[in-house]
Amino acid sequence: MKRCTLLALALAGLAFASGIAAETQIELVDQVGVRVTVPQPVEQLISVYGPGTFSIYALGAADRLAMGWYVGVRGISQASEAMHRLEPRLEHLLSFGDPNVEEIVARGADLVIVDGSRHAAFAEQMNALGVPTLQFLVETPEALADSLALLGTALGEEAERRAAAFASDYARVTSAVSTSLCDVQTGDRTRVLFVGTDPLTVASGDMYQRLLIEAAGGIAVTQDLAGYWNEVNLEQILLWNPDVIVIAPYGPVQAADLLAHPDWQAVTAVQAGRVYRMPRVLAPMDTPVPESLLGLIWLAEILYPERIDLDLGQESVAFYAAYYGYALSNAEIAQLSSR
Amino acid sequence: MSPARGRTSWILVAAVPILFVVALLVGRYGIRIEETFRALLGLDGVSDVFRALILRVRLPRALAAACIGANLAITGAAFQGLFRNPLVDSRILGVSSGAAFGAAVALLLSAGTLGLQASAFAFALLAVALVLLIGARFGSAPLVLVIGGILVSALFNALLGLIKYVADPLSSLPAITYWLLGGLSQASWTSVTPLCAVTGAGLLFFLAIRWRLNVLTLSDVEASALGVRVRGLRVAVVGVGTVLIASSVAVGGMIGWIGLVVPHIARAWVGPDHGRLIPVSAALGIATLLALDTIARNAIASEIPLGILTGLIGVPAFLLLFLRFLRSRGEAR
Amino acid sequence: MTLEARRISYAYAPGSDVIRQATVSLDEGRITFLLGSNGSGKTTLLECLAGLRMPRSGAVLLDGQDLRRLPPRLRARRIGLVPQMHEPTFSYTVAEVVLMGRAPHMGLFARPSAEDWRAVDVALEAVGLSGLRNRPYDRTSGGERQLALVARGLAQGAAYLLMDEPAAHLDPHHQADVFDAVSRLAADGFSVTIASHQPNNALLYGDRAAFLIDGAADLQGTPSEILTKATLRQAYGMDFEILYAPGPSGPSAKAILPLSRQS
Repeated sequence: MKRCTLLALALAGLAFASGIAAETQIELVDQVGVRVTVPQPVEQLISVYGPGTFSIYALGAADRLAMGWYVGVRGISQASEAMHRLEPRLEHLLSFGDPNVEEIVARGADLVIVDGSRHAAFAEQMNALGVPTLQFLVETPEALADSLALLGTALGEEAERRAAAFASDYARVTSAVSTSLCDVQTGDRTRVLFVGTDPLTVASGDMYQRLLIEAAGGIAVTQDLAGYWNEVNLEQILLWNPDVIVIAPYGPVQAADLLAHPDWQAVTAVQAGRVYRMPRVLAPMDTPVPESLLGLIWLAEILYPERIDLDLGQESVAFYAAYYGYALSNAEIAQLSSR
Repeated sequence: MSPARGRTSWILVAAVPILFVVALLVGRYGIRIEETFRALLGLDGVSDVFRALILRVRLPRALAAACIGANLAITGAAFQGLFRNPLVDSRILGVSSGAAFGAAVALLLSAGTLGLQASAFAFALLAVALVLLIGARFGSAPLVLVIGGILVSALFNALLGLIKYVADPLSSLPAITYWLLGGLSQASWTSVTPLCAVTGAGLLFFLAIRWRLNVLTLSDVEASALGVRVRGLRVAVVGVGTVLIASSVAVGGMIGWIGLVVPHIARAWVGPDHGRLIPVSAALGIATLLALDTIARNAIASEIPLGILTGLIGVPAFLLLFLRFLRSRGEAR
Repeated sequence: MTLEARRISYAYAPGSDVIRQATVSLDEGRITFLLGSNGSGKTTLLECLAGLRMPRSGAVLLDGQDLRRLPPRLRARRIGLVPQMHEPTFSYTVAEVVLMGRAPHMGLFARPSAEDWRAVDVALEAVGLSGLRNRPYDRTSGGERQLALVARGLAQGAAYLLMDEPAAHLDPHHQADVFDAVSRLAADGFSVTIASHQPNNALLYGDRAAFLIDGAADLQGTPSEILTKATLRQAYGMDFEILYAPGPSGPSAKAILPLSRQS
C-alpha cells in the first residue's frame, strides 16, 4: 500500500513539475515567418520597432517596457505633451538610431520586437544570442491588427483582450465608413494628396498613407508612384489637381503655408480651402500605430464631411481611455475635432 | 579659328534661346504651344491654371537651369585656366562640400526652403573663405589653394557625415540624401530672382576679364613680368566664381560634371583663348542644363535628380573627350 | 639708356645672401651674358633686374629711375622677361602666345585692338616666325617656341630683353636660330641679357659677360677678357681647355672645351 502511494505521489510530482515547465514558454511565428520561442510571462521587453512601442502601450504592457524606439520621436524635445504625461519615465526609456546589440543583450530583456523590413539581420543576431526577437511587418491596417494579436499572445491575458478589442473596433469603424459611402461612385471619390516634411515631398502608392486614404473612402493621387517618399514638382501637382491636401503631422509644413502660397493657388484643394494638417496626440497617425484608427476617422470626416456620422471627438475620448488609460485634455479634443 | 569652328559657335549660341523655348513648352501637364505664348505675352485666352503653370512654374525653372548651367560652365572654364589644369571642376575649392553641409543642417532643423538656400550659400562662402585664408599665408599659389580645398572639403564632408548620422532616417535623412542628388523642383521666383541677378553680374565680370584670363594661364613669374597683378586677379576670380557656384548650389543642390566637362568640350571646339572660350562655355552650359532638366522633370511622374543625369551623361562624355585627347597627343609626337 | 643693378643684395631666407653687392649694367644694342654654375643666382639676378624681386639693399635703375617706383604695367612695357621654354598647358596658337605680351598695354577689361595685333605681327616678323602664326604652340619645335617667347617680349614693346637660359633644351641648330635672331635684335638697338651656363655661347655671341661667383658679380668684361682657364675653374670647379685662333690684335679665344675628369 505504502509503495503504491509513494509511486502515485512521485508520478503526481512529475506531472506537476512538467506542467510547470510547459507553462514557461510558448512558440510564436512572427510576421516574417520566423519561429521564435518566447518565455512566459514576459517581464521585461524592449521595442526597437518605433510604431510597435505605441502598440505596447495600447496593450497595457508599457510597465514592462525597459527601452523603446518611439516613431516620430528622435529626441525628448520631439515628444508630444500627451506623451510626456502618459509616460513619466520617457527620458529614461527613449532610444533612437541604430540598435546596439551589446547594449540590448546587456539589459536582459525577455523579448525584443523589431521592424522586419529594416532590422532582419539584427533580429537574426539577437535570436542566435538567445534573446527572443520578433520581427514585425506592418504594411496594411489588417497587418496592424495582426501585429497587435501577435503581441497580445506574447504579453498575456490583458494584452490579448485589448488586441481583440482593437480588431473589433477596427472592423466597426471600417464598416461604418463603407456603409456611409456605399453609394459614392469611384469617379466621385475625393482625390487626396498626402505631403510630408516638404510640400513637394509626397507619399508614394506603396506607403501606409495610401491605404489609410482608401480605407477612408478616398483615392490617393500618388497611387502610381512607387517606393518611399517621392520628390515631385509643382507641374505634376497641378496635373493631379487633388481635391484635398493632407499634411503629415511631422515636419515644418502648415496648412496656412500652402493656402497662402501664390504658386499653389491654381490647385483645387487650395482654392476650396481643403488643406489640413493631421493632428497628433501620441504618435503620428499616418504610421502603423493603433492611433491610425483615429487617423482613419479623421480622414473620412474631412473627405466626406456630410456623410460620415462617426464623431471623432467621442471616439477619441473612448479610444485613449480604453487603450492608454489616458484622459484627453479639452485642448486635445478641440484639436482633433477642428478641421 | 577655322570657319567651321566659327559656324559651330554660332549654331551653339542660337541653340540657347531655342532650347529655352522648348523648356517652356514641354511639361507633364501638356504641350500647348499657342497657350504658352499667350501666357508669356500676357494675352487672354489662357486658363488661369495654365497661365500660372507657365509663369510661375516653368519659367522660373527654365531660368534657374540656364543660370546654373552658365555659372558652372564659366566658373569651370575660368578655374581650369587659373589652376592651369584642364581637369579641374568648378567645385574644386570646397564650395559644394560647404553648401552640402549647410543644406543638411537646415534640413535637419526643418528650416524651410529659404533657410535651406541661405544656409547652403553661407556655408559655401565660408568654405572658400577658409581656403583663401589658408592660401593667403602662402601667396595664394594655385597648388596651395587646391590643397586647402581638399582639406576644407574633407572637413565639411566629415561634418556632413555627422549630420546624416544624427538625422531621422524616416524624414530628414531621405531629404538630405535627395538634396545632395541635385534638382530644380523647388525653383520659384523667390529663389530664382536673386540667382538671376547674381548670374548676370558674374557673367558680366567674366566676359569683361576674359582676355586677362589668358595671361593667368602662364606661370606666376611670367604673368607678373607682364605687369599683371596675379594675386589680386586670382582672388577676384575665385571670389566671383565662388559666389556664382554657391548661389547655384543653394538653389539646385549638387549638380556635378557641368563645370568639368562643358569647358572641356568648349575648348576642344574653339580653342583655349578665353575670349571665345568663356562665351561658348556659357552657351554650352546653358544648353546642356536646359536639356537635362527638361528630361529630369518629364521622363517619369516623379523627379529624376539632376545630379544623377549629369553624372550619367557627364562621365561617358568625359571619357570620350579624354580618349580623344590622348589620341591627339599620340599623333603630335 | 641703361638698365642697371647697383650693389644689390638678395636673400631668400634672412642671413643667406644669394646675391651680394652685385653691380651690373645693361646697355642698348649689347648682348650681355650672365654666367655662373647652377644655383649661382643667375635667375634671381634676372628677376631682380625685371623688377619681380625686391633686393634688400641697393637698387635697380631703369634710365636712372628706381624700378620700385615704376608701376608693374609701365615696367612691363619696357622690360621683357623671356623665361626658359616650358611645356604649355593649353595649346594656344603662336600668335595668341605673342598677343599675351600686349597685356601691359591692355586694361583689365580691354579686348585686343587692331594695334595690338599689329604689334604681334611686327614681333613675329622680327624673329622670323610669321609663317607659324596660326600653328598651335605645342606643335612647334623647341627653337620656334623659344623664339615665340622672344617675340612675346618684343610685343610688350620692351627695349630690354632678359632671357633665362634660352639654349637650355635646344640642339645646336636651334640654338643657332635663337642666337642669330637675338644678334639681329641687338643690332637694331635692343639690349639683350642672357643668363646662361654655357660659356661657349658667351664667347660666340656676347658683347659683354659677367661671372656670378658666390653671389658676387665682380668679374665683368668682354667674354675673351674674363673667360680664362683660371676663372672657369673658379666658377665651375673643373678644368677647361681654351682654343685660340690668331686675330688682328693677337690670339683670340674661339672655343671653350670642358676637359673630361677621367684620366
